[in-house]
Amino acid sequence: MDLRIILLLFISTISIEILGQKVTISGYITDDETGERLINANIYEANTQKGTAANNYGFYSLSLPKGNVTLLVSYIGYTSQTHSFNLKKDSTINVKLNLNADAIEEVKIVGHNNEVEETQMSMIEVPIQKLQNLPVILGEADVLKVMQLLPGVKGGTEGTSGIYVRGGGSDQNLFLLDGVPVYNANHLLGFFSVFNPDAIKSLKVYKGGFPAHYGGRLSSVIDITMKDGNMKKLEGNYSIGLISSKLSLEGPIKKDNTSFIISARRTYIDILAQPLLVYINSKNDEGIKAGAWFHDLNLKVNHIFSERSRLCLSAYYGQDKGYNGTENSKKNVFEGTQVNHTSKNRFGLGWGNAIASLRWNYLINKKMFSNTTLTYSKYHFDVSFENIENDLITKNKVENFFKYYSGIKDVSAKVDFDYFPLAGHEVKFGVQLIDHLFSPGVSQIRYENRINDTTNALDSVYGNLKIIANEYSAYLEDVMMITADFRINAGVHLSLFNVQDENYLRLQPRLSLRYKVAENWSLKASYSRMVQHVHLLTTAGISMPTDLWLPVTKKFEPPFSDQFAIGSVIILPNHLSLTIEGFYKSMQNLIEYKEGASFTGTATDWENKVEKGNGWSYGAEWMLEKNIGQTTGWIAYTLSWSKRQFDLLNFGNPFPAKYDSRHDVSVVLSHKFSNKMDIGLTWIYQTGNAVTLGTMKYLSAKIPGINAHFQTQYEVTDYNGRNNYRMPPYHRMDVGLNFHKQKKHGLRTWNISAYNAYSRQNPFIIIWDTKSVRMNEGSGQILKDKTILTQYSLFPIIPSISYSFKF
Amino acid sequence: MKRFQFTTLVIISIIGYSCTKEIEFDGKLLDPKLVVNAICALDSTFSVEVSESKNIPGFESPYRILNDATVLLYVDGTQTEKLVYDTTSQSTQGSFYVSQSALFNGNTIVESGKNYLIEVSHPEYSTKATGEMKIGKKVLILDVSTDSIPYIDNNSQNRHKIKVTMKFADPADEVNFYRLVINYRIGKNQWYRNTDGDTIKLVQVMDYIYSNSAIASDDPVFSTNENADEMLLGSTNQSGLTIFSDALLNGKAYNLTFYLNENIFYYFREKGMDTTRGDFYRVTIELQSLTKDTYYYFKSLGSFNWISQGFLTEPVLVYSNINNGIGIFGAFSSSINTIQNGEYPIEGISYYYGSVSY
Repeated sequence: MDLRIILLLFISTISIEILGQKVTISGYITDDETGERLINANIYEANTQKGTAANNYGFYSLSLPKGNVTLLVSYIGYTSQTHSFNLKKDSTINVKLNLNADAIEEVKIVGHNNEVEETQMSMIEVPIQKLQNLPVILGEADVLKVMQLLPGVKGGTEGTSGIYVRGGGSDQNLFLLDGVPVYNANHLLGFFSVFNPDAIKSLKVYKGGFPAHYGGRLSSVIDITMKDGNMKKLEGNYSIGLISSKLSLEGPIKKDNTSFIISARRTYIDILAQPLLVYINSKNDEGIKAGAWFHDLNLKVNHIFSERSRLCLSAYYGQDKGYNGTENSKKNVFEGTQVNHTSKNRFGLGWGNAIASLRWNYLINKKMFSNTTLTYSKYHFDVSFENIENDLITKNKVENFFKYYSGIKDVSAKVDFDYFPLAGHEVKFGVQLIDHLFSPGVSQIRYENRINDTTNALDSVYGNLKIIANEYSAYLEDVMMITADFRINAGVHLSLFNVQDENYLRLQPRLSLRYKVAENWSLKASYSRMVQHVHLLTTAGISMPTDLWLPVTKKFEPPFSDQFAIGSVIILPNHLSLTIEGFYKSMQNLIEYKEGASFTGTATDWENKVEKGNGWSYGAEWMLEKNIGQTTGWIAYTLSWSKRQFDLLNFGNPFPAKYDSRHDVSVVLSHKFSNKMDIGLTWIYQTGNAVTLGTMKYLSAKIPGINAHFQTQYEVTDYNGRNNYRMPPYHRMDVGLNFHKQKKHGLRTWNISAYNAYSRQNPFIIIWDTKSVRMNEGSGQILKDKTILTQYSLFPIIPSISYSFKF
Repeated sequence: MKRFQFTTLVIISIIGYSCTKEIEFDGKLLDPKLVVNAICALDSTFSVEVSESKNIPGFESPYRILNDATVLLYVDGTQTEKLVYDTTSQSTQGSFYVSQSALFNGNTIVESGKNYLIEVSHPEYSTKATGEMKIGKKVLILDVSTDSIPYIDNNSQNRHKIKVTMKFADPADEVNFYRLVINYRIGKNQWYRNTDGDTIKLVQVMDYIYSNSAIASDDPVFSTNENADEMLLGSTNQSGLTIFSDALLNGKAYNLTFYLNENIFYYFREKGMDTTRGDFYRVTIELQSLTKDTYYYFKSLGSFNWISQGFLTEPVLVYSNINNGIGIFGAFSSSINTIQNGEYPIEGISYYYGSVSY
């Protein structure tokens, strides 16, 4: 949309407000029991049929005519409230809602149903409380695994990290934890996510229709908000699983004034493996040492200075480590010479995120809410090899050490404003500055060779220089109710990226429309342009912690996408809602590995390993959802196509993206039998990933040369195009049973779960292999080699049991 | 490199713990294709090889030789010739392999500026495989000169290497593609006395097959990303297909520089070169002008052969310009210049021939 039109609309609404005779009610909508602010809670005035939703900090502001008003306040999972009074002047009304523990009654929402009412489309808010009822993996409920059950969201290859939204790549997703980017959202090579469900308040997944205040990635924004901490009383829970345990505590430091929440997790595969290693080492003298673990910590402190001012400090720290090696000493006599020798070999790897944010909410007036945030985000990866050989008799020593590390560090400051000039009218604007520091790959080598008192030594660091980039952005977003049935969210996001003396200024218009056909039915449409200024260099399309974040360069300009979407939301009887959406997304300036490329070096020459091209995806998504009642969940189906076209790949012909998936089906069910028992079940089906697989062999032409003797001919593999072949489909069922019992000091829960309940062998890779087959030939038998297609799978059924206690 | 090792280690570890099973291959892709290969030389007759692709899954089998194929040649839209199957084509070809294709020869001479269409049919195929090509004028080597460049090697020894400057004029207003081919023939004196005391004048002649390090060059035409990517080709020459386009030199006379492989001259460097006793070397420099399709075919074929086809590697797709089939219908012209030191052949000297794969 033309920027002038947006400004005109903005100015016109301001004028209307000045001319009108209205007063404003504003305040916070919170959980009565914990004081948690309820994001997106609804407030609706029945007489004027005007309403709004609380912002990310639970704040709302509604301008209404003076006189009698009837306010209806509602939030899914909570008992709604009605307040009638005579509104004479600007008022502050803070609403405290009570959790509807059974959540089996329909929330009475009159005239303001969130999904139907909202302009926002292509966004799914995953109910965190429902997450707890779904099957867990080795004792851990997982946010990313649940996200993969949403329509339009696809997981990558099993056993690796990465999600793919509406045909986009794994680097096109922006994970925000309390507004701070998280560059690697995975623990244990993608088996767990870094997001601890115990510390999370809300999870929103945007696949399209992006509001103007978001920017930085082409395909999705995953906005995760941590809990603020209970303002009323101390509570917590702990959980003990097969490979990990966790503890979460929250409560007031000063009641109704300052709260905290702290959540920590630690796996103990390394500890559990110790007896096995001791046994193995007792059988030989290799001194094997091996293990892998992760831990993470979420911390948040929230302080209320006054009704107008709040300060919030949140932090996350997580670390993964893996190692193996040997450490031993040998004493023996070899050919008459005494040997007293120690040896140490060690391979190690580690990666982790550290993020922090300091946020100050300040209510400038009843219509203007401000949010000032300082953030820090750091991701690092390292791998090391060490070998030490030490002769204790001769004092000779050889030591080799190599370490490679890479990472990215961001520091940012931003200011956001929410302005509520009229009922049904909200203006957001803000600015942000991010300093990026990329460390694409640095190597350290240490070498010492001491023989007969002569020492040769080397200690050197080399590799890529750090790259500094600055990103500036500003946005203006206006949510307007044009008529009672027609709403519009128009905005623009402006970004300026400076790297290596190059400036990229990009204007990103956004537009969302909603037309309410009936009380329970609305039609929606949206357009978004998104730009991103970073690339993730992955290994052969398999997301690993080794993947490198790199800035855009002169050669590879910022990728951008244009996405159009249309959709409909219908509220059906029996607490069902049906969402149907169709989308078309084009993506420019994408990168893909060249044919023949593999990761064989550091990032110095990465630009020579990739090609630039375009992509597009389109499809339709259906989601039938039920959030209320004893049986809740959703059934989702996605029909989609995702294509790429690169001039120098596949001879310029379009080809399917690696994670192009024609059919995605997911079923998520949770049923509460009683307060003592509930069951969760998920089932997912996805068309197999596209891979480039040789199908035939043929003979090449002879290569002409000066000497006819040297004319050569090769046997060539015919691939019939890039990503020409489909792996077998992926499907999996997870089942989990929860047994609850109310104890004197809290609620005890036993969870029994099975990941991949029917032990489907899902494909990880497929390759050609040969096997020998006994054949009858003549009077005897011979062995003949047969080429077969072999599938490697990772995870069979994985049962688990865990114990948790909430107090 | 270490990252690669780590990634490989992790993935191999994962695979090590994984389960495997044989799965069915999607049979829809298993129909064989007609394979038509012809890279014809300007001013020579047409030769077309016809074979058939074969399935990867299943038991290993030889290629079918489609000697009952029909190969027609069209020149500027008119059928001019039916190529004839060469009954000798299944005998030993050259020194190193037996062809598994049926060779069809024609009498038409390849000329520049004409449109050629090849049409191959076979009773077992419902569609005809076709390919088209047109070759431009020959680009001549205008001059070749050499310089001796001193340098100090890794062992702190003073050395000299031979720098070659080859001048040619790239035609303007058209896109041109080239291939540089270097051939080495070296003769080493192996004279000896027989039991009668007579001197047997024998020179051992070696032809070098340049599979590796045939040419060293820092010329910009090889350094463009498109042509001579270090990752794809290792260096400009390691695939043995040193190809380049005129992207950097369009329409200009250009002096292309490269260095001769020093290792090939190892014998002379260590023992000295005595041209009076029959020692010689002859370096043949060939500049091939390629059709565009031939260029892309060589480029992809070189990468295909050079790159190990692992599952962590993006596979290389070999270019084809054959409709309803697969292969290449291309052409090249060649201009040759020679650098020679020492006389060859010399009357009265016996030559013993061999080859070295280098």
